[in-house]
Amino acid sequence: MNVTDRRRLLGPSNAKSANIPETRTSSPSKRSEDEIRKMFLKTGLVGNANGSAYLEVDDTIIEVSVFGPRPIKGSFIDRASFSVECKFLPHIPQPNEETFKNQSGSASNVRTGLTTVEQKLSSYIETAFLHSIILEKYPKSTIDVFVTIISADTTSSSNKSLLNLCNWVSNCTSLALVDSGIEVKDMVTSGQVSLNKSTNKILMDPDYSNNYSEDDSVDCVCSYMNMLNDVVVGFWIDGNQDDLDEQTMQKLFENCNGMSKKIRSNFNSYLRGTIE
Amino acid sequence: MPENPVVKQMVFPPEVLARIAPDISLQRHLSVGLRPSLRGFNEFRPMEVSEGGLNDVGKNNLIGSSVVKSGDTRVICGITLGIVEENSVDKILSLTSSAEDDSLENYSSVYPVVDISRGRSGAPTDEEMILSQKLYETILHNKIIDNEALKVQVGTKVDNDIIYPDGSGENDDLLRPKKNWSYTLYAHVKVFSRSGPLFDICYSALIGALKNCKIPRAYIDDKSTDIRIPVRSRGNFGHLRESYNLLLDTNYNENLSIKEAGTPSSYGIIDVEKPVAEAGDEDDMDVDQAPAATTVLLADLEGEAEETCAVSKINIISSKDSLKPLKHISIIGGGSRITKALLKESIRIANLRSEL
Repeated sequence: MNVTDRRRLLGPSNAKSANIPETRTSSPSKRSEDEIRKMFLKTGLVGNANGSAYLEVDDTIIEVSVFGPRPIKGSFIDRASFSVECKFLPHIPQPNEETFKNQSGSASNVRTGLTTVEQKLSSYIETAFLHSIILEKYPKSTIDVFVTIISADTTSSSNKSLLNLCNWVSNCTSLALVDSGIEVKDMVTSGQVSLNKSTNKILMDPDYSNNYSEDDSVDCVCSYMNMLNDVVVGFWIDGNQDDLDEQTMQKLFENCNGMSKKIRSNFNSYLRGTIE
Repeated sequence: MPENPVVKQMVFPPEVLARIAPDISLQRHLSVGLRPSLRGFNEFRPMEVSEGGLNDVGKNNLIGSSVVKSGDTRVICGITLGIVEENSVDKILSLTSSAEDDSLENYSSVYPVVDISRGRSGAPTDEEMILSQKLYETILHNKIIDNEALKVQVGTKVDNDIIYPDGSGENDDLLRPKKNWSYTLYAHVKVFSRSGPLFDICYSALIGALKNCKIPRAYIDDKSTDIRIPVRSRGNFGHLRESYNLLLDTNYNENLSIKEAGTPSSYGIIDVEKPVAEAGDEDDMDVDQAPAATTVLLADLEGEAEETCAVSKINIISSKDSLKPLKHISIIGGGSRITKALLKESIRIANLRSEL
């Protein structure tokens, strides 16, 4: 049983959550299949972090702060430890949240600890970036990344929209790391595509909020270090994964790589702009 | 005999001194009439409140939101709804006991949770807890939200039509449930880039979000009814009761009516050592001649040095109402002496600010 949280103001105990039903109707997007949505980027907004980045794509708003390298207490370690914590603002619904929600914490202004969805995202980012950061340069220290999802279009049932969110979170994190000045082997950028199995068509950066709910699609997010021979540092496949063969994988990865390269070139020109 | 080691005077650049000896650095700044942030003593940072920025983004449950920017600090505030069934016994009691219209029982507040981003995870810090509680109390005691404004207008859904009690009038009493509900408001306040005390900016964010709150109506789905089932188990009697299934109707949105909230102003009070007389040279180490100190008011503290050195603080919320301009005042002593003149000055400035 959960003991009542006395550190936060949770309101009356008999309150029920009142969720506003979905009423939004949206028009199908007019983008071509290999067009990436426009994004807004800004680095260095958070003053007390070592590096930070802010990204807006449509309704997705992400903020990433990098704290570190910070000294640790205790015994010596010869390389930095790296951790990622990815949190949604508490009012944003998460996929399958109803299933895992514990009944005691019904107030909608607080989420203690990480939910399964948040853990999944955190661990993806952590594994993807672990390879790129030169941890040996920072002995006896920690590098902590804090991701705040300020707004997101996560549909309630499907995990697929998470892939798209994951893509933008990883891209935003890599900008924040550059802003912090922590040494990396290469920037990590990601791409996310959806393959419709019946038409065999690839859709780049699909907009899941636009009633895009093709059940017969397989969706993939994949992260690369593009300047290091396109090394894959992480991928996540969701959707219809029956008879997933080499050919399909090849196709998914190729297109993710294409998208990640586009994003990388955008980032490069943004970063060049910040220097000048 | 070895010579006494010569103590060499160490010289630091200003930004290093500010890190290693914030108090000395602050005193040096103040003695020339400047603050480390280069603001004047009575100068506030401009505060930019944009209301409702997040309402229309994404699929969230927000009914009101605001984003506030002041200096480097950014605060994002979102307001969500909960429904509480009103206890009818309490209501009768309160009707008989308190006849006053203006008693606190007739007003509500929001339940805020403040979350300051500082690169740590875990339980909320003291500052977050104190700030949340203070915001709750201030909104309640300033009597900003009337209980009436949070009453749920319950309608009933009949054949895809939703009938509200204030509608046609014929079947009003027939369909109206005996129970009463009211909304509770929750707020989540996320702070980025903290650089000083946060009450002013969080209060403004919360009020900004409350101002654009849209309160929906609710209706009872015709699928659920009020059923009482008697239950007997091991000699105990009881009732199982099916509760109403309340759904929100977002087609009807009313603005939450809130009363004037006032403008918050906060100050720190600090002693400034008068600069040693101009004639005296710089390395004058005469301790006996203690410099006379003056006490000054610093508006809207910013930075570590000011926050740690100014222990005495004044918080004022003043409103436009010329008859009763003061809505809230809190004075924390312990550092420099808060004189009557300082208090008067702080109230004067706070009133000026509220008139803008």
